[in-house]
Parts: sequence; C-alpha cells; structure tokens
Amino acid sequence: MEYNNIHRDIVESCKLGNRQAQFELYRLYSKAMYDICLRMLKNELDAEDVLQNSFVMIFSKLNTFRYQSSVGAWIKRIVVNNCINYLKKKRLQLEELQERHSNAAYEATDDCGAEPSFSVEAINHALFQLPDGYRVVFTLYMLEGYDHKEIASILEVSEATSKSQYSRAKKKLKEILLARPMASRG
Amino acid sequence: MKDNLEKFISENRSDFDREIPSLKVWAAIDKKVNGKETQPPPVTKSRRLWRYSWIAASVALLLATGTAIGLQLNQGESNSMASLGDFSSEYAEMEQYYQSQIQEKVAQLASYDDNNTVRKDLLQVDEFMEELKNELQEAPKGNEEKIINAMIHNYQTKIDILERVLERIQST
Repeated sequence: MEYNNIHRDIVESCKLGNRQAQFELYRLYSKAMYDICLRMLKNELDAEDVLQNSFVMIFSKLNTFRYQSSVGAWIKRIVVNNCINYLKKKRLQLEELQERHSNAAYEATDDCGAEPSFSVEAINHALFQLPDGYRVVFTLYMLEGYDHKEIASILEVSEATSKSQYSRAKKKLKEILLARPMASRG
Repeated sequence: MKDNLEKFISENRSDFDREIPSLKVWAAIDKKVNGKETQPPPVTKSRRLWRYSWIAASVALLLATGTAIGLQLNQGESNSMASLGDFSSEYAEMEQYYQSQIQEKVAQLASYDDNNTVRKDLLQVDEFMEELKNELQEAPKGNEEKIINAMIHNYQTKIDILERVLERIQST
C-alpha cells in the first residue's frame, strides 16, 4: 500500500532542502514526537535531546523515504528507536525484558474488583513511576498503537515477552493508581 | 476486550499529549541541518531562484540606502507587531537567534554593490513582508500557538529570501 498523498508535497520539498517545508514537517509532528520522548525518557532535557537528534536524522535520511508507510509512521519509528537506544545507553532497567518466564501464558490477575478511578494526570504520574521496561512496553502498546509483534521487533525480544511485559506493566500501573492517596484521586 | 484502564486511555488519548517542545529544539535542528554552507546546491537551484528573482539583490539596496523600509527589514518585527519575546524568555532567545541570522546575512549583502534594476524589487519585498504581517495581525486573539508559528514562519521566510538573494548575487 502506498501512502502517496499524506504530506507528500511537504516531504518532497524537504528533500530539496526547503527550509519552510522542513519547519512545516517539524511543526506537524514535533508535539506528538516530543510527548513520546517525554513518556519514554521521563524528563524534558533528555526528551528534547532525543527529539532534536531524531529530527536531524530524519531530515538527513529523508531521501531514503519512499512512502512504504506514512511519513508519520516512519518518523515515529525513528523517534521510538532513538528513545530506546538512549535508554539502553544509560543502561536503565530494560534487562527485565530478557526475563525467562516459567509460565509462558502469563496472565495478569485482576485485583479482586478494586478499580482505581482514572485521570490523565494520575496515569501520567503513575507511568513515570514504572520501571523503564514496563513503561516502554506499555507506552508503545497502549499509547502509540504498536502491536506486540511490532514491539517485539523494536525491542528485539519475543512477542510473548512483549505480551507478558505488557500484562505486568498494566498490573503494576493499577497498583500504583490504587495506592494514590484518596484526596488526590482524579 | 479492553479493561477499564485501557478504555479510559483510548477514549482520552489526545489528552495525553499536552506538552510542547521548546522552540530552542527547532533552532538547533535548523542550525544542524541547514547551517553548513558546504552542501552542494540542489539540482533545481535555478528554478527555485527564478521564483525569487524579483527580489534578487534588492536587500543590498535596502541597506545601502538605509531607508525606513530597509531598516524595517533589518530590525525584524519592531513596529506594530508583537514580538516573539513578548511570550516568554525562551521565545525571546529564539527570536534573538533568528534576528542575528537575518542581520548576518543582511551584512553579507551589504558588501555587494547595489544594482539599479533592483529598486522595484525592493518594493515587492516589502509588499510581501506586509502581507505576512497583516496575516499575523488578523490571527484570532488568544490563539497564541498559531501566532507564534506564524511568526517563526515569517522569520524563516526572511532568512530564506536573504539566502536566495545571496546565492543569486554570488553566482553572477
């Protein structure tokens, strides 16, 4: 499937080094991409760093982009990969992704009926409290719309690992949300 | 089958994207991607320059004569328009960067001899700039992000024009 029309004119202008077009492309995607970086890396400085390096990379690699996917998906993939490499470089806790599970069909058990009340603020806050591996998998699946097969490929783990990590992440997230003091629940 | 957490996230997905990156990030990207002058000119260079040929070298005249119009181009957005710096200190930094870029190129242009045929091009530059300014002033109040983007666009355009003028002068 060819994604021909979506922002094609902007992309083609960018390929010619047109600065207006470059800014336009940046303007179209920088907010969403920054939010991805922020969620994955947890702080603004790192997020800005990776955002910047990603776009420099994007503009220099744009000549290789041939519309096999939408330009947004292509951009997002670059940003996500850079975030993960950044995390790996800092040797933050992505090791848990390599865990061997004795129970291959791990399913998160429901906490007996107790459900936290949800708010965007609470969830964002809770996400930041998750270990990196959980946060990355949860973010990629639930917020960025990747399926487990894609996540497995991005993180270089098995699809089963992605699924189990996601289950655990979700469970942990709910625990954190439930543990919030009553007064500040959304 | 989504549980309540997943449902909530799906339904409120757009609320999870609240943060905007600082404009310094774009400035840094711009610098890295476009800053190097050693890049070979793209194949369609002549076609691009043709679009701007009506402003060719006009800026040199602007500077040489030091007219009010020329000063306007030189100083950036000084008159009736709000400046980026009005919004925050981050934007002020951004604005400084662009203005220094503009000044640098304008200074480069000043070193070239002006050309009489350029005089009418001068008027067209200003018309163009006026259009941009008017567009900005017509932007609805409170729509700050849009205004900021338009201002940045304006600066980008100026720099772009100046570069093309320079390219043209340097190639003749």
